[in-house]
Amino acid sequence: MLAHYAFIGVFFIAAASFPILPLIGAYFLRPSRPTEVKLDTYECGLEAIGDIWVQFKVQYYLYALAFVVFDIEVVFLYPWAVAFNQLGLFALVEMAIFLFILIGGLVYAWRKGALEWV
Amino acid sequence: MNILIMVIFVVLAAFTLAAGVMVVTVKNIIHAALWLIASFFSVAAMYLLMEAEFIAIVQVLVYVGAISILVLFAIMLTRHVTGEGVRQLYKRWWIALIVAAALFGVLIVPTVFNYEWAVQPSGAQISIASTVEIGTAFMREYLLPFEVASVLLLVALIGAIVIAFEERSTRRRVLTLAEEVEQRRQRNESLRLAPTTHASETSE
Amino acid sequence: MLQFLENIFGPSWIVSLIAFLISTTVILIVTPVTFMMMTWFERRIVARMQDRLGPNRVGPAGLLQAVADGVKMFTKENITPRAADKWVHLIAPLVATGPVIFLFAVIPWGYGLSPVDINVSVLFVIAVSSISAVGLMMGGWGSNNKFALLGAMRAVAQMVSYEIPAVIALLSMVLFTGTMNLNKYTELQGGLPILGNTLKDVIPDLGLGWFVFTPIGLVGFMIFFICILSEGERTPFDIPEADSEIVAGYMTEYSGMKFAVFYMGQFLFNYALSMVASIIFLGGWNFPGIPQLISIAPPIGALASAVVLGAKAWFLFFVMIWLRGAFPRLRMDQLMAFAWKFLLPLALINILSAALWLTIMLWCTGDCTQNPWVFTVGGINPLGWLGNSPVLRQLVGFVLTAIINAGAFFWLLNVNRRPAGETPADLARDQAFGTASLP
Repeated sequence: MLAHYAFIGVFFIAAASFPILPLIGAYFLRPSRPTEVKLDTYECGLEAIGDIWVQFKVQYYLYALAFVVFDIEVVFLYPWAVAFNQLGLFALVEMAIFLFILIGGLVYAWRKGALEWV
Repeated sequence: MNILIMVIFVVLAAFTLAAGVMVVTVKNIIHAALWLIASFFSVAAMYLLMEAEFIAIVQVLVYVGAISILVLFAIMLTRHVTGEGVRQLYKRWWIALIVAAALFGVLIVPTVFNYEWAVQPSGAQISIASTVEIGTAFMREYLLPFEVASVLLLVALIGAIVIAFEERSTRRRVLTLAEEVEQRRQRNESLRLAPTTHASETSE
Repeated sequence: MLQFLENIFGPSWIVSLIAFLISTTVILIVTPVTFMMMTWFERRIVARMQDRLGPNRVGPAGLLQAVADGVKMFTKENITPRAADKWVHLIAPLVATGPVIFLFAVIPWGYGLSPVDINVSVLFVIAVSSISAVGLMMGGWGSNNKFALLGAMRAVAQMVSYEIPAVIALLSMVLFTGTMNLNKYTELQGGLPILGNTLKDVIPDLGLGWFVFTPIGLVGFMIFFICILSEGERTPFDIPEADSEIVAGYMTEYSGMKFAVFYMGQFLFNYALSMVASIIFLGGWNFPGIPQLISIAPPIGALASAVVLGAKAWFLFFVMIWLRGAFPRLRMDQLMAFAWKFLLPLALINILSAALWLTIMLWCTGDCTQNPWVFTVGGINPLGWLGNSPVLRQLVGFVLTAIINAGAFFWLLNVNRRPAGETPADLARDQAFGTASLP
């Protein structure tokens, strides 16, 4: 089995270095004539005003947190799904409870308006 | 083969530690977050080295894929804390180091001394916790923690929503570009006016 | 591959390493060629849909256009803006594209043509594809440009929102099959539509027992395909790079080869996920005749299976282009509402109906007393009338899950209907005057 992981490791190194190769190739082929204006931040031809770091709305964070919660839920569900055949009816009921608690969370978020993009 | 595994382990461990040190010493907060993600990833590689494939994948899925996004979004939510030019290390950093080391010792020492290291005879087939076994364990031995976990997740979700709604009601309105320009113009005017008033105050 | 070499030279880690390097090299040659073909294909098809010709000058039918584009990309100047964070700006395309290439480590290309056989490949695909979001975020922040940061925030918010329904749709299939190994999905989808392999002894293997023909698989496929569109930023969901709003999103400050690397990552991501969707839902390399061909002449069968699987993946890519030609893009609030209020509940209900199907299939099969799948009400087995015939069970499961899934689909459509009295014009006015503001 470790041989399979060794392949994963070899492939990881190859995959990570694969996009680097064209960058290196382009380094030798491309021209490089930077000018003052060319290096400006692009803003439709206008001069950039203000910092880029606007305070983003809290909605982004809320979606990310809901994502984390459901992601972890899914991580718990996968082993259950794989072992489902051997577990019997009891596991089905257990998982239904687990799911319904989280569906309750989703319903709460929905009702509360946390899923609205405002 | 064992030497090769050892070498890979040492490289990964060194990288994890180096990335961790970068997290606490780098000045730019986004760079710190990116180093944190790198250390998460190399921890996943270490799990794979231990043939714990499910845990390794979950480490990537939850930490590299989800928690890192949460961290980056949380940084984006704040206002101007790039930390450029801010000292990252506090003056008495060595106290923190001692406390952290002591805490780590308290956690690791009993484990090291009480654990019966199963020395495998060479060539013996080591049983690996497969996904199926993890799933069965969830439903049998660890049923209660499993259900409690779902309640914990629910609480996290509700807590975030409550906090977000509080924040939303109190937050500053995001300015449009026109408003920002207007504000800047006013500030410039007040700056132009300021020296004269200031001068008149000091002259008296 | 590995087995074959070990038979000749005996097991040795050098032999394995050489075998690994050979298969890695093959994949790393095939994927960029696929990418170039995809760009040509997309441009030609979209042109045809828009009543144009598309690239047709370089080579036969414009086939070498992609090569010309590649040469152009190599000779383009690389501009890193003065305000950008040099290193983050440089590494971002690598972090966005590397994981996409890494995905191909576990995706089988045909019968016996799988690079590696690990037991968690479905989860591997999900986990590795979620790393790309970090690359997008790095690109957006590292450019130090408002459009880029906004585009990256939108792209990542969209990616994470659509990842959950995708993962849950795959979970329903994992539950259905009981395995996370992509290599095993194809053999489970032989036989007849709906009935699968249950009538293997009576009717020859037609290779049509695709999961998309079952209600669970159909709903799962719909959800997963929509999520692929969104994660690959294909047109109905291409808000992160909506050129009329925010220039090119997180790619605004990228030029030359760095841009090309981002672009390649996006296309290959689409292709990799199309492959995964074909394997899990569209029967892999199953097609009438393929199982027989494999049993008669394995090498020819393997080649044919690769062609069939590739054809399915390319067909899904064609549907993506078709959608691009047919639909305008969604608004950000519509996009988010669609993921969280329609796809996610539907996917959760799909899990429950998959569990129901499995319960019907497993209920007291074989020795009833030893089976964990039995539950009697007052000494009477409530599902005893099903008997031991898998065909009857399959049909009962089909009907029940079809009713549940269809009901859930229409119920969710109803729940998500626009409130009465609110017209699109109202919404547009709200947005224009600030009550419903976009970021």
